[in-house]
Amino acid sequence: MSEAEPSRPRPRVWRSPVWAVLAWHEIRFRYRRSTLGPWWITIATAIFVVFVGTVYARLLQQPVLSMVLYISAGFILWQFFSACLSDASSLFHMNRELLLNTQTTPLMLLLRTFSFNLFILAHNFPIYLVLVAITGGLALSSLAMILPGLLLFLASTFALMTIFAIFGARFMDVPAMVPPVLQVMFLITPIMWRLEFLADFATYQYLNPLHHIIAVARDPMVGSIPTTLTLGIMATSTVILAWFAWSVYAKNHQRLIYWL
Amino acid sequence: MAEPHIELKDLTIRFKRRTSAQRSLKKSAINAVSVARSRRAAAEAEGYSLALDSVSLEFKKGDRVGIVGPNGAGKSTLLRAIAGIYPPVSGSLSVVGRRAVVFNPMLAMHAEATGREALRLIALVSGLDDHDITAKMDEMIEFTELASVIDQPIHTYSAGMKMRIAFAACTTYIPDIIIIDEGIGVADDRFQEKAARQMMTWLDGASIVVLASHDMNLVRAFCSELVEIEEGRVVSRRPIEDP
Repeated sequence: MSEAEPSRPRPRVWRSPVWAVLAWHEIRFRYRRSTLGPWWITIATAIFVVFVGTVYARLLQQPVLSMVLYISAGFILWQFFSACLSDASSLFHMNRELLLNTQTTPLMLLLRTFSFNLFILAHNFPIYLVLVAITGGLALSSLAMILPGLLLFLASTFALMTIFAIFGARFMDVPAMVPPVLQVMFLITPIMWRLEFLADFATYQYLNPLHHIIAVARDPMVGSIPTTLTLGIMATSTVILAWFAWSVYAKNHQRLIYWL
Repeated sequence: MAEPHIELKDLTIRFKRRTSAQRSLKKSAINAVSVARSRRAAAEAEGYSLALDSVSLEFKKGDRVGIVGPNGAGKSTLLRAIAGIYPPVSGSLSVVGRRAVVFNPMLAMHAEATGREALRLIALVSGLDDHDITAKMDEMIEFTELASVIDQPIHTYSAGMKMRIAFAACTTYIPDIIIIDEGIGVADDRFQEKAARQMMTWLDGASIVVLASHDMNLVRAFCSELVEIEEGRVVSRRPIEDP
């Protein structure tokens, strides 16, 4: 071909959504000139959970293997959660030119970022699987809870991500505020330590929403069942968050371009 | 299927002149609970700049329209409104047909991308479908005359080579409606004639073309009608007598 020819849409077969193509290319570009690519993240996470897990197990006088498994499950979930929220809070400002000059929509950007972080989560998952194999597997009851727990975790993360992205576009304080707040929350949420260590003070952790978000997915992954309270809170809050995220998005997704 | 068509009725776009205080979470929270909020909010609400003021236009199949006007007249805002990027603050917009939006195609060109990937990404964010891009990929590569280096990273390309990639990605597939800001250039002299032919075939193939530019020669070359805009209002719409 040397000249353009009139073209019309082809018959509808399965078509890759734009956000999926954008996410896939972002992953490829990020690790293009690296030998191990995203597996560097796996290596870094593995080193962190093994060494820090061992130290914490000693400090807290816990069995090393079960503590390392507990920390690895919580930490890879937390990495995903905090990356989604941090990225979301500045997402539309960072992609202002794309939104202003192309057919890219806010939802495409949200899905692209969520898929990218999901890809990183998938690369960290083998660490957890190896540790499960070493510790001798999980009980059937907790295995059955892994999928529903992960679905609640992912759905609430995406809903929160949407809310943070919209508020981050409107208020410049949000992108500045989110990373330091997440740092503090990481330390005060039972991720590197167990809830039981707080003894009487543990009751206050039930007021920490991030405890429930992490626990609903992590507890089945380490062989226990999330408490009824956590399951109840997460089932309810996921529905409320999804409704709120949808409302905020539907109301603002078109006009947010005026805020950037 | 309905014919491609664009209709703007009393379309108004305005931008709020934002101060840093208005984008502050703290100030917004204080205003929300403050007794004095209504007076202050009302005063702030007056700080708008009108980018498009009750614009009514209709473009039908066969229309090739050049949007002209001085800097800040509202040309790009009008294109972005038609592209669906700026929603109307008041009035209405109706667009029937597949749109291709060509404002700044180089934006999607990631430095780590190969020429082939850049072709796909530029076409994708211009509004084309991934499936259609795959079908047209070989033709795009052939047009660029960069087949031997198409899988090399873009950061090894010269500026002229990058412009060829952007040009091919934008002009290979013909949509119903083309919305284009300031045309698409190719730096390479040898390539100019071929690019001009391709551009003409691309624009001729679309049902409606809306082109905004400062360059009257560009507008005369590709358009048959002129819409003049000043301070967000349509001043005149007339045929170009000497295309």
